[in-house]
This record gives sequence, structure tokens and C-alpha cells, in this order.
Amino acid sequence: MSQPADEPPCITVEGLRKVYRVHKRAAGFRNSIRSLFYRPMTEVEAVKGVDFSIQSGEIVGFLGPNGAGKTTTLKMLTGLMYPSSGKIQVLGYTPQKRDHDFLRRITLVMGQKQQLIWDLSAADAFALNKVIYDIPDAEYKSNLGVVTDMLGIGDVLNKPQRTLSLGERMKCELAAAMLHSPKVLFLDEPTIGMDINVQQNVRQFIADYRTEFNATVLLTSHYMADVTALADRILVIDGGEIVFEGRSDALVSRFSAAKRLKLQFGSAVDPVRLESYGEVKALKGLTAELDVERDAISVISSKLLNELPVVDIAIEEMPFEDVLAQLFDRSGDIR
Amino acid sequence: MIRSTRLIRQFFANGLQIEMEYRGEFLISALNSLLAFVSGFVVLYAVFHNVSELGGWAFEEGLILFGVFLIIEGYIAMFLQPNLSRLSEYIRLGTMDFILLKPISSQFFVSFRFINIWAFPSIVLGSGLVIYGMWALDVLSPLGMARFLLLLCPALMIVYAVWCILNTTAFWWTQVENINLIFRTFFEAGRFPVTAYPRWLQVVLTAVVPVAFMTTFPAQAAFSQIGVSTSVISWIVGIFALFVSHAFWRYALSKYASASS
Amino acid sequence: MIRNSGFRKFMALLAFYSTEFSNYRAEFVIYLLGGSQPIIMLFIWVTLNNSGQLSGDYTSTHFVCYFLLIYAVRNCNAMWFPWAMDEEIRQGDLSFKLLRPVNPYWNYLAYQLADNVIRIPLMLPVLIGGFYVTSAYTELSPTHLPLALLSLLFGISIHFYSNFLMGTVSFWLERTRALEMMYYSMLILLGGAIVPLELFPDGLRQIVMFTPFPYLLGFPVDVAMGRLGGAELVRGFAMQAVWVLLIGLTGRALWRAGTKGYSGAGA
Repeated sequence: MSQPADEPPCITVEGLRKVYRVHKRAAGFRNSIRSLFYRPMTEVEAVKGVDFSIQSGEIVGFLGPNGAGKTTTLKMLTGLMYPSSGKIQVLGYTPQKRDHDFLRRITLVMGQKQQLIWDLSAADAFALNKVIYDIPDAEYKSNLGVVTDMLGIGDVLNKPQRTLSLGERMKCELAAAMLHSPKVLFLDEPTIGMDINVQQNVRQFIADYRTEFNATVLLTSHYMADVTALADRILVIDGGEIVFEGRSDALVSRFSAAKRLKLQFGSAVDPVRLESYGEVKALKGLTAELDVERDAISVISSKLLNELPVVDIAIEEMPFEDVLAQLFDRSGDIR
Repeated sequence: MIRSTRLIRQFFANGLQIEMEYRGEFLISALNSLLAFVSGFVVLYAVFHNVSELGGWAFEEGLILFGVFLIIEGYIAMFLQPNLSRLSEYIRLGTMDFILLKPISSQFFVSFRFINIWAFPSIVLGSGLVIYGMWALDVLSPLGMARFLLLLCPALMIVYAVWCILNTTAFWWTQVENINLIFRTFFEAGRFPVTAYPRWLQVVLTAVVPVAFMTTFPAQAAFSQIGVSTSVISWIVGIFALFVSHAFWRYALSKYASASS
Repeated sequence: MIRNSGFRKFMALLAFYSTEFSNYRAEFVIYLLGGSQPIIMLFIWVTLNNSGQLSGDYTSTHFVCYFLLIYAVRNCNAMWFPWAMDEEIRQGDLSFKLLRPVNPYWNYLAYQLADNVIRIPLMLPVLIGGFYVTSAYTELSPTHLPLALLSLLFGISIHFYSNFLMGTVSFWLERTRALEMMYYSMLILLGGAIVPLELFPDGLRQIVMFTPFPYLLGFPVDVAMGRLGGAELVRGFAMQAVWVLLIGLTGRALWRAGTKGYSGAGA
């Protein structure tokens, strides 16, 4: 899906840095009175010199734990935040300048942050966007049809936002964000807090949109699943630096090879015995966490349920922190 | 420009739609306007019960002033209160980011997005008072109305600019919904003609907190020949105020973009 | 035992909110400026008095004292917790408060008192300075001051309950801001903060005295200035008591009705 290599990239970032000044204050009444008069500031380097480029038509996943600098970088790419130093070019514009032509070509969607008005319906919001973005009638009609179908929001278009469920609201948000046929989509945790069905729906929509409009998508998440479904390429950011850059299938197959089982026992279990089922990550009292190969999950699970006094079992993705930890261990032979 | 008018039309339409969801609000707003009218009238009457003129103004002239006061109250309730005081909420919840990414002036969008149509009774009552006062003083004429409107415009500009500047501080101080109380405090002084105050306070109310431009001058224009210089100065102050509010807004945005997390 | 733990909980709430308020440095500027409207009114009346138009033998000091006192009372009386109540009810957060072993009612009181704890020390220097510089303290009646304090407390109670009542209306009406604004403007106008009640035309004054507003502002001030005789004092306090009961009971009833049917709608 990417452009040939001799085309200029859609997004380029060079030496991007962001430093904030935060004031520190200890808790308690006395300290808060003191802070009326004296507030020491410390500097926090959120993004420490980042370089990357994205070709048009790519979907790039931007992964990292909380506080890694994902959202900060995203905000700098959209021009919402000024970098402390470094260069950014998106579609040939400098985002910081907030050129109206630039703004017409991009869109930002943030999970759990809604911009649609509580009391108005999606249809009203769309009508407003049509005026704001100067969308010609024909384009508006066709886009409206396309996004409504893709997201399946036909019957909720005319109901006030406050009467809709979270999933429906987020879908309306997405629709509203796409009406002006943006070329670059910045999606910050778009599926957070949604249930599985809606998540899949949204992922499919993003993939289809990219194909239909040849859009470039930068997607941040701390769910591996968002990435496996969508991204061509992944950038992993941790502690303000890019620690991994490469194709997503490589990352996924290598590091999602295992799943984590969380077990609750009815009576104490011999730790040595537990080790025969998989890699024991934690064992405390009557709870345990076990890493098991993805392919062997069902076999191992039934064995556990039959042979050990298991009261409760949960099968989860490997926590992202552990994936990252592994990454550092094996950083030599990823690419 | 054309787009701005289309946007305002859209905001009105949205405002109507939102308010339709709260039909009870109309009754309350109407009641509110009526009570403000009655209580304000009672107070004015009480003052003139004790004195024959206030700062050189007669009762009917005082009525016109009160009418202007009500018009501006209505204007604030309709356009300013529902919008600019939301700024700290936008910043807190992150909605401001969405607004900044739209290809329109963020100041315009934030200032006029919500229109509280139910607040118009005050404007109607105020206008009624102005017309009545003018009629009682025998100065009701198209020319008089034109003079009045000529000085009402800068008043509206200045009120907007002051509200905007006060609320823009939300970019630094996160919870300043109450800053509009400061405005209210000084604006209340506009119930009475600026000449009723001691000289030094008159200067403050003209040069520091331009309350005189908000109520006294437009009212004066309605019943007397207001000087050309006053009119010109009012307009200059009005336009200057708008410039300052815009400059301050842009400054605030640049700080927001440099510092926020 | 129960009283003790209730009291400790209350103090904890008070301390918590005080800490929260002291975070907002900008608020202090607002507090100082926002309450100063009576001071502005003061100047009108002094000017009017000096122009010789007022009938009756008033001295400027009389007006200065009156408005300084209004300023003091007004600052003790500033409350905006109905806004917080409205938010909580609408957004469904009230469910949390209802689950905690503290009546939300005390929560709001603590929230409001904490605000006053911060605000009153800021106001006192202005007040005392004003009184001293203008010699307005001569208009005060020292013998009446304890009674004045009592009437102030009654006034604050009426004000608190009124605000609470308005807050409970949020259970049924979607937005109560207009209600609050209505209340506020009537309070200023009819409470004697712009025109001293003594200067109202007699007929109008009779009518105004049937509303609760004079008892929140003008009445405590009149008591402090020793302007009221025995019968008037008794009647005034009686009215205050009536209003406290009336508004307080209505508020409590509405609260009970509201929490019963509360569905926690919202996010």
C-alpha cells in the first residue's frame, strides 16, 4: 500500500524534542499554603530527539506504554503543541503554523474525548462541519453515505448524542471527523473503552477508509490488537525515544507468541508442578500468572482445569510492558 | 465573511435545536428577565423617590439607562455567557484541541458557538424601556434611534472584548469561571449614570474599566445630542478593544501550545 | 460517639476542601475584586448625600458604614456550590456521594465553609482598614453587635438553604443557572445592596420585607448599626426564623424526593 520510495514522504520528523516545565508540590494543607508563594519548577523531557518518516497511504502504529511520549508526539504533528526543537513536515506544511489549508486535510480523533455536542444529533454536527470545512455539496453527500454505511450509524444519526451508547458516540465522532475527506488521520487511542464488536467495526472502517481515499494514518495505542489488525509498520516509543521501528508482522509474531493466563486456585498448588504447564511469572498465595505459547493455549488450559484445583481462569494478551522488556533483550536480531 | 455569516446561521440553528431540548428553560429565562426588570425598576424608582436627579439625570433618562443596561444583560446572556465561560471547561477536557484543529478562527468559534436564544426577553424589555423613555422625553425619532444604535455598537464591542480578555486567562488559571463575577461587579455600576459617581471614580469607570462606554454613552445618545468627539472615541475604543482581545487570544494560544501537556 | 465521628468526618472534609481551594491562587484576586460591588455603590450614595438632595439627616459616614457592612455580609454570603450540585446530579456523580457514609448535605456545607475560611481573612483587612480610615466605626452600635452576629448567622443559613434548594431543583430541571442568576440579582437589588432599604418608598418596602432577601443582607446590617428598635428586632428575627424553616424544610423535602427517584443518568 505504500508509495514507491522515490516519492517524498507524507510525514517527516527530524530531531523532535519536547521539554516541559512542571511545578512540584507535596501534598497536605501546609504545603499548599506554602505553594501560594513559592513554586519550584522542574523540567521533564517528554520527547528526546525522535526521527521518522511516513509515506502516504501507510498505516503506522505508534505504540508505547503510558507516559512514553506518544500523545505528545501526536500533538506536535498536528500543530497543537510546539516542539522545543526539531523539524516536522506533514503534507508539505509545518503543522505549527496551523495553515487553514493544512487543517482541512487532516483530522484528529481521540478516544474518550468527544467533541460532538451532548444535546445535538450527529446529523447536526455533520451539518456544522460541512460549513466549517467548506465541503462542496456533492462531496458531502457522498462522504456522508460512505461513512454512514461503513460505520453502520444510519439509525442513530438523528438522535441527540446524550442518548447514545459510548460505542455509538465514538462511531459518530469518527464519522464527523472524516466528512471532509482528510488525507492524514491522527488517531489517538481510538478504540479505548469500547467493546470488542465496536472495536472490530472501527478497525475495519479505518482500513477501508485508507484504501478508498489513499489516506495516511498514524494510530497510537497501547493495545497490541489495534496494531495487529491495521498497521503496516510500527514505531515503538518508550521514555521519549523510538526503541523499535519495523514491520508489524515481525513484531507480532515474535512477541505475541505467548499469552498470559491468570489463575485463581481453590487450594495451594506446588510451584514446581505449575512450571510444567508454562512459564510461571507470578505465584502468590492462591493466584498465579503463567505464560503459555499461543498455539498451546486451549490444550494447556483444559489440562490445568482438569488437573489442578482451578477456581477461575482468564486468558489475556501479554502485557505490553513485558513485550517491551523482551524487545530490549532481543533488540539485536529483530530486523 | 460569507462563511462567518453561514456559521452564525448554523450556530443559531444549533442553538435553537439545543434549547428545544430544554423547553422549561424558556419559562425560567423569561421569568428571570421579568424579575430583573421589575427589581431593577424598583431600585431605580426607590432612588428617584429620594432625589430629583441622579448625576444630573432625570428619572426618564434613568429609565433609558436602565433599558440599555437590560439590553446588554440580554446580549451577555445570549452570546457571551454560554460561550466564553466554557473556555476553562474546554481546556480542562481537551475539547480545545479539537477546536484548534478546525480551519476557522478559534476565537470566533469559541465566542459564538452556543447561542442562548431564550435570553432575548431582556433585550426586548430593555429596548421597550429605551423607546418609552425617549417617547416620555419627546425625543423619539428615527434620528434619535440612529444615534442610539451608533453608540450601542461600540458598547457591544467593548463588552465582548472585556469578557473575552477576562476569560482568556483560563489558559493560565484553570478554574476561572468565577472571573465573570468581576465583570458583573463593575458592570452593576452601569445601572447608574457615570456622572453620579465622584470624579475620580468617573475616570476609573471610563478609562480603566470602560463601563461608561457600555451604558452611559449609548443612553445619552438616545436622548441628547452626544458630541462627535464622544462618538468617535467610543468607536475607536471599541475597535481597539477588539484588537486587544484578539492579540491576547493569540498570545494565550501560543503559550498553550508551548506549555501544555 | 457518633457525634464525634461525624464531627471528625466533617473536619476532614473541611480540611480537604480548604487544601483544594488554596491551590487556586487566581481565585483570591477574584474574591477580592468580585465582592467589592457594595464599595462602588457606597460612592454613589455619598455623592448624592453631599449634593444635599437627600431628605432626612444623613451623614456620609452613615452610608460608608452601611455599605462596608453590606460588603462584609455579602462576602460571608457568597456561595456557588449549587453549580457543583447541579453538575453532580446531572452527570451522575451524585451516586458516589450517596454511597459514602457522609450525607452529601454536609459535603456541600464543608465545601462552602472552606471557601469562606479562605475568603474571610482576605476581606478583614479591607474592612477594618475602611472602617478606621473613614471613622465609620462610629456608626456601629457595640451593644447590638452580638445580636448582629446572630442575625448574620441566620442570614447565612437562609442563604445556604436557598442555594441548597436551588441545587435540588437540578433533579427535575435540566439547567438551573438561570434560577441562580435570578436569585442573585434579586438578592442584590431587594436585599439593600444598591439602595439601602430605609430609602425605599414605604409601600414598596413593605412588599420587599415579605421576601427573604432583606433578611440576608440589609437586616443584619441594620442591627449592627443599632437602627432597629425592640419590636422591629423581634419581628426581624422572627421572619428570619420563618424563612430558615420554610426554605430549609422545602429543601430537605425536595432532596429526599430527588434522591429517591435518582437514576444516576449521565455518562
